[in-house]
Amino acid sequence: MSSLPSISPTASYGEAARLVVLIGHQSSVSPADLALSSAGLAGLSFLADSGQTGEELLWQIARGVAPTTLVDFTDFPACLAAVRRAGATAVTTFMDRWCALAARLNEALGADAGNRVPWGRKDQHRRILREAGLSKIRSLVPTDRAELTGFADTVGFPLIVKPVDGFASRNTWLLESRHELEQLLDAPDFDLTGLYAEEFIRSCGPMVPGMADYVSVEVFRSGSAAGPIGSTSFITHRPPQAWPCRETGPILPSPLPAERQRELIGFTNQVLDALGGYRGMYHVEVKPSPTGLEVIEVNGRIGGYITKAVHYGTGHDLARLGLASVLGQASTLQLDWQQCVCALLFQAPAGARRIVQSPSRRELRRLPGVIAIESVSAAGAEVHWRTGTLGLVASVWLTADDHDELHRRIVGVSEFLTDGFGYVDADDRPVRDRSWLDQLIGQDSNDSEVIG
Amino acid sequence: MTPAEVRQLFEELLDVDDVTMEDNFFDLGGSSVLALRLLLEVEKRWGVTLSLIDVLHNPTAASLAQCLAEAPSSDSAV
Repeated sequence: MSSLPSISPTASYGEAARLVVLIGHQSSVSPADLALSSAGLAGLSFLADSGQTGEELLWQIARGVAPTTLVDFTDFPACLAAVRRAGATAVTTFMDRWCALAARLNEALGADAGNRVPWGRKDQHRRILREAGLSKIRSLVPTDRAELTGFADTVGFPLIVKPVDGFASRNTWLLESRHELEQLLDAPDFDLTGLYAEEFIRSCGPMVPGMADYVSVEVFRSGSAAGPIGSTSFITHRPPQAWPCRETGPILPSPLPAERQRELIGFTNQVLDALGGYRGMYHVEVKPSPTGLEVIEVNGRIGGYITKAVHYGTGHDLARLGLASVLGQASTLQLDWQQCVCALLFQAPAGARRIVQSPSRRELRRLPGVIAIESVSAAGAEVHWRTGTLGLVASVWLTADDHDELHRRIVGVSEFLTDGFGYVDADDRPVRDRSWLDQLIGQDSNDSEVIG
Repeated sequence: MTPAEVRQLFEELLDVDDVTMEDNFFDLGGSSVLALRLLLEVEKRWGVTLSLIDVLHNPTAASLAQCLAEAPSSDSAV
């Protein structure tokens, strides 16, 4: 199917390199996969936050595959001492939450390659991109209610309100009207602290029939601020989003014409240059708007599910490329797609609060195209749209020989899951909502926003 | 233990019913957490203690059965 350019050569550390990876739940690559991917490339150690609760099993897994140290991640001197004890050449992470810490540790180690992306400050990303002429989207970190409503009056609706350091669409509001904004502000548990507001990025409709109106660009850069910046990139699509901002899984490879792919990748590289991301892995969400290409957001790690999708579709090890790029090593990746792949992240309807009926996992496995099932939530599980993309109720891998067949299979599995799951709302009333499925089948415009 | 018994264990843990001898546990949806459960079940059923690395390097029913056959049983360990 499609193939990609390779990244240009830069420095090589060889096997003497030692990488420390900051780990935790919701990492886009697991410690076990990292242990396999780093073999022969670099020694591997893990650093986990001792302040996290409920991660004991993850720590046990990490200890089973590589040296693992627990440190209080709010204690920077202790973190730096731990990475020095581990003999770290560089530090990285596959989690949004720890990108800022990894960057600070690399700076202290002299391994930052001049990177200066302000991780955990999406409001600053937007400001930098506006100043660079790469975004027209207006945003504001409101200090009080009046400032936020004044901003809404200026930019209009829809309006996005989300955390400056958010991830996976958690606590992200897509507000359609002044009334919805006032409802949000009046909610008893609502707090403006740490939130910012952004003008909604208008859509040009699906970029490809049956898919969402935005793509993500995965970028691997092995350069430095002093240049050159070796880079390889590819584009990932998705089915339409579930309201309000929940992602429904990657689709690979991109069916876009090569020229369009080059345009999107070129824009993304301009964005990374402006933000100061010269070395490492980047997951950048890009949406064509009537006024030009816009970045939805920039993340400092491989996109969720992308590594496995590339493995299923090509047999290549993307995590290894990511680790090599963090080390500034040259790597060649020629993605020759053998099949189309989708990780369907099936979301509950926005009104659902509890699952009362769950589909048969074995029947799901027998549907055309299903190659693996990662999870199917059981009856009794609580659900809420505010938990974002990771609040999914089923995670299913599908493959097909071409995009049309893949789309038919996504529809088939989605119909099965829509009928197989039963939900109730907060008052225990049944919830039936086929709007997302209708959008998928009808290939309607996906006029919505995504937050990584 | 036989390779067929290991395959049956894969099917139980993954809750699917069509695993082949050469299917990769992780490609079928197996996670690290499920791999830990796999290790516990192997020890319980066949008295053999394997590591997570053993499962990562032997992710098929056929290769894991071979690994089990070559490993000393937990009972024989001193």
